[in-house]
Amino acid sequence: MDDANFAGAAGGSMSIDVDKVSEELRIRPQIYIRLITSFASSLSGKMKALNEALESNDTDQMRMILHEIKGTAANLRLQSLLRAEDVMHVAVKGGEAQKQLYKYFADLSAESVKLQQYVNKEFNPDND
Amino acid sequence: MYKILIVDDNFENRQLLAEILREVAECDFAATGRECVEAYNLSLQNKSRYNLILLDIELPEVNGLEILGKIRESEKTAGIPLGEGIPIIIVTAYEKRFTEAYDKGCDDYILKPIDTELLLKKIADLMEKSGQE
Repeated sequence: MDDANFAGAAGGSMSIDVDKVSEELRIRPQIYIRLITSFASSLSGKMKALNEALESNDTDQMRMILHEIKGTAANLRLQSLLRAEDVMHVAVKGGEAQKQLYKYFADLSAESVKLQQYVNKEFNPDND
Repeated sequence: MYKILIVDDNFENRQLLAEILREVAECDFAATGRECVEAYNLSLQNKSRYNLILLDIELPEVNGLEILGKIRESEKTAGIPLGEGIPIIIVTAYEKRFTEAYDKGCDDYILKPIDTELLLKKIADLMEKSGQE
């Protein structure tokens, strides 16, 4: 897995090399598109649940939601989302202050929105 | 074609695994520990056993390692020696729980992100080892 699969550091533009990732995973490109579209549409619910867990400072719940995002983002080679998830996950595990977690949450939210916008634009043009 | 039970609470992960395995296996799905046990028991009743289970750790209700323990316990009760039961590969994003998983009786352990080549090799090796080629 390398960053070329998914360019798009925080603040940068995003592109997903569907053919390259599909080849690496040995799956059909149309299935990969279907999977990232499905994952992207589920992210707003996950981020909402994560925000609620953050507001109530429920560390176990935060770790569970982050773990789920991590597993799928990693499997789908969504690198910039994965990086933002990892920063928050490490901070939660390390017991960092809630105020700091809000900052990491904002970064992760931004990556999540970026992915959803990209997917809508590239794969669901009717929904853009 | 093998018959494989994929146990993962995440829809995209289940579908990804099924797609990776499409040329070697027909897959059933379970999204919770309870569904896994039900599917496993049903396969035994119908004499249509799974060749393999791919089992995530983080599951609602009952986690994957508890499910693994329950399956090995039921095999032990049925007189099946350890190592001769249904092959189970743990598929997880947890990097540090492999000791616990092997203690509970898993046959192999693979980390997310899934490496397709490695997964297919592990399955082929297990099928050969268990005489299910």
